[in-house]
Amino acid sequence: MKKLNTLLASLLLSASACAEIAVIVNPGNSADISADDVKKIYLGKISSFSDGKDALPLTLKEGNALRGDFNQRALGKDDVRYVAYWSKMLFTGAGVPPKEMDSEQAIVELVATNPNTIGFVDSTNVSPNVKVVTSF
Amino acid sequence: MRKHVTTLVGSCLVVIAASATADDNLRISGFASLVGGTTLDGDGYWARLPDAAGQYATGWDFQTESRVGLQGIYTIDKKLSLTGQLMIRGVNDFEPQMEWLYATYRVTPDASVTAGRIRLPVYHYSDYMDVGIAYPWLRVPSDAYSLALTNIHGVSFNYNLDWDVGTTSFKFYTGQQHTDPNKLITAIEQYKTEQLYDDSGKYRGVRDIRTTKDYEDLKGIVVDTQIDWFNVRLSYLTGKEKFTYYAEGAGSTPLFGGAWADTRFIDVSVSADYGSIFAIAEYNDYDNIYSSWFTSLVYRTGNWSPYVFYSDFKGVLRFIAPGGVTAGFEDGVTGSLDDKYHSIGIGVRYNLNPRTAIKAEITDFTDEGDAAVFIDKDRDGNSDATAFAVSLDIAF
Repeated sequence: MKKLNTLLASLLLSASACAEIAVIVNPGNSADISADDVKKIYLGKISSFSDGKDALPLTLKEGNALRGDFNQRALGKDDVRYVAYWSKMLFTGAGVPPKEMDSEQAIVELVATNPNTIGFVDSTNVSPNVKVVTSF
Repeated sequence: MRKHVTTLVGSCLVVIAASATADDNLRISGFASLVGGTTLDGDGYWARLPDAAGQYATGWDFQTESRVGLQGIYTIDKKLSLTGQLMIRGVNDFEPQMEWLYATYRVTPDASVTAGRIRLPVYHYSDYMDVGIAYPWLRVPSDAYSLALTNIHGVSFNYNLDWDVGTTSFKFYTGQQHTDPNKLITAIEQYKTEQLYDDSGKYRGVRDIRTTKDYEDLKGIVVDTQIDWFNVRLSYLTGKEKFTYYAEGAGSTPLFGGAWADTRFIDVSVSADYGSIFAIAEYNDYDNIYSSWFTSLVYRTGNWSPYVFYSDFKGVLRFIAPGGVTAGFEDGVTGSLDDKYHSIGIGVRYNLNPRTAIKAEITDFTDEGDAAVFIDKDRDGNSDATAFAVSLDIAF
């Protein structure tokens, strides 16, 4: 029984680790957005898309597992380094961290209506009214 | 009067913050560090931080380095914002002071102009040396961070260049600042030449002197380049400064100093943040006054980050008071005392959660120069010390 539990747990873990994270923008956004651009936008290194329009990155609340996965895979930072990084940026006036949304659904809804936003969701939560630009 | 105004401004900011947090245009955030330290060996340890913070003489001290910062960013419109940062420091008896207050105008998404009271950005960690959660050490290795000027009144122009492989930020700034008294330099001079002893030779404190430092026509540039895990930062500052030394009871007649002199400060840092390793080396040279540097290695493993650092300070300028040096341990060639010291630090950071860390550090300070750097009970100019400190750092 214990073995089975361990097996189940590891299966679940690997399933969550393999879930794809889709980066989404408004369908009207025609800018080229690479994985590297996503990283720079989410770290405040650049604040506009390649077409010059303002980029407004959206994330989930601190402690959210998908947010943790995204920060690790797309930005190469664990939660501790993400907070340290944005503390530095915020308290030096260099930028403000991505806006925190309550849920993936809230991200999808805002991205569908606001052409400046960029967000990420579990790829199974992508809806037709947003456009996937890359995934991690 | 000044104190009252600062307190008033402080309270107003807090009130504004409290009443306006529901406003989407206002972002309030803050950070705090509770630092406690003691001297394990020697007459006392002083980290020589801005405002003379970091003094540990007897027993445990939880005040000298502890601090709370509150920051408000008010977005007026898409292009214009106002940032205020209030610092409440133990070294200032927890009197709130307006650390920064500046307006930022975004000319383009990549270019902005900032005007007001801003941080002098000479060091790698200048802008966030108060934000303990943002760096691995208990304190930024302070032997290499001895500039007596922290904030200026001025204007800066900032430009971010994204060149695909990396990003480079440019900052051009100009400004001025008058400090009276200059708490850091006053304390340095007090321990260097003004220690007092009673008839039996027992240490009884320092003489009540005052020093001021004025800085004008400051013009600087910072070029900060990040290529994936590699960072190089170059800083160059020129301007003029005036140092004045007033003896106890001498009123407004300076004992010496009082002349303007051209000044130049350069700083270079190279750092790598690769996987579980963070390594940095930073060097600076204050023309005709001192050169200092530090290097550190940090290893991240889970929530633990043990670290080591080495930091070094070498003074070049020597003031000679009228009548010469009388302390009895003068340098034979120039007749004045030289400042030279280094520290080795070993510490660890433990992350309780992403917004909370506790740290502990043992700092071994070696005084190699003639001048006493802190309390010198046996009057030999040697202020070697070993200190231990712990901290709790949070961001909110």
